[in-house]
Amino acid sequence: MAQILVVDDSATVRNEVSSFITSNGMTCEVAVDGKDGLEKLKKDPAIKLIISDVNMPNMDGLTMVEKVRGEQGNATVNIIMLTTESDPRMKQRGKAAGVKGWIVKPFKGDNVVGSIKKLVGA
Amino acid sequence: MSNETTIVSKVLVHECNEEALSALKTICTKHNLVGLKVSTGDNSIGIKDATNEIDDVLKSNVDLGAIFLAEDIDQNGVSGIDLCLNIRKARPELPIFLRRIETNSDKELPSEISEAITGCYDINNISVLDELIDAYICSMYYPVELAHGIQEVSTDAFSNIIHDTKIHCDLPYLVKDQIIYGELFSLIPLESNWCRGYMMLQTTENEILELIRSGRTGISADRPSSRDTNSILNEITNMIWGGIKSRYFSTNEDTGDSHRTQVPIIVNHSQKHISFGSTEPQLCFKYTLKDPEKKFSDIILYQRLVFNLSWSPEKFAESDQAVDDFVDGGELEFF
Repeated sequence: MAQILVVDDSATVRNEVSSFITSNGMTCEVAVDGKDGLEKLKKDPAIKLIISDVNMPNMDGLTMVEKVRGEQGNATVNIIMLTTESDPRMKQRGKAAGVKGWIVKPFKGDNVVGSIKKLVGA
Repeated sequence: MSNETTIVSKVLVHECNEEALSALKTICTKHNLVGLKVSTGDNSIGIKDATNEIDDVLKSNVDLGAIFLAEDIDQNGVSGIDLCLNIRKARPELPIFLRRIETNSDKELPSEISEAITGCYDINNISVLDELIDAYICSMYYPVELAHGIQEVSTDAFSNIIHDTKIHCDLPYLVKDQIIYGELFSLIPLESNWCRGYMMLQTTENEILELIRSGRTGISADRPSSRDTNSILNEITNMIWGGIKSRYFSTNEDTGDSHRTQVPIIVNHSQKHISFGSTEPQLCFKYTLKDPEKKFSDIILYQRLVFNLSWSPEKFAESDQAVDDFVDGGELEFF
């Protein structure tokens, strides 16, 4: 059971973000791409927040979000994208799909920890 | 990093005539060429040693723009004519310019030598060399603003992924070399309405493993593997790519049908050689990452921009608006 699901194909980012989350007293699960993210979310109903990359192999982050809201019918989980992408068209697609917020990499935990805690109800 | 970025190119020079050497120095300064002079040692060595000397320089420099040889016989009895066939065999992508004694053409040279060299000049008609350099080394124009911006974006990416490190970047330079440095490289496409090609980052695996062991990255320092080195290079590449895209690729551009064309990329592992199908000079950056506490050895990263499919630098300025929209990294933007 985890509060936050971190989805990123980069082990560097997965380690960095998940270490930050656990060191701030929250629980965390990781997935390596959008497909893996969908599976992990399906298996763990306790997940309150997904922090996901956009550009990933097998299934990209925005397609995953569309499937979370569509195929899985999960309208409640909060989703934040953590990506190098800052293209407004991509953000618009994310917003339309049900993304709550957007962080352009790098991940600076101290800047966002308050918001993350609020989104998971910690 | 200086704001006065210039783009240079490294060239190998084997020249024994003092007057010619002086003229070459002037030409090099004029064209921002950095000359690496090859010495063939003392008088006791012959052609084999001279070739070995040049081989050593070629092996230790994977980022050359051209080679300058001379027809004269040096103090060791070695002429550039003797050397050029071996050089051509070892590095066929590098243009070879031969200074001749009596003429500035390739007449009276054996056909195999004529085929091996790119152009001839003589000391009394040095303007021919100007033309050869413009045609073969400086044949592609890269805006200095682009070079400077890429240095900034890349330095930021290194700093974000590798903590507490000093980063040094040499002046950006043009290379014709197609030799691969190190064991590890990444490729990512760069696609916009003013460029199409790849960014390549090259480094050595052991240096990255040592870096991870030092605990300066997000990867566990305990028994890192090659997957971990791949992950570090992957994330650095991704961050630089994102930075270049945000900064220089307009969000309003129409990518069009031209984006469908592709050419194969050939990698020859035994020769450590990569070809993108184009012989145009590539824009190259050499970064040295240093640890002030000496927990890891210096890390060298070569970054190359290879616009092998399309290059329209005159359109580069049109994407300036993307800079205005640049978002602060690390901040959460709520929708």
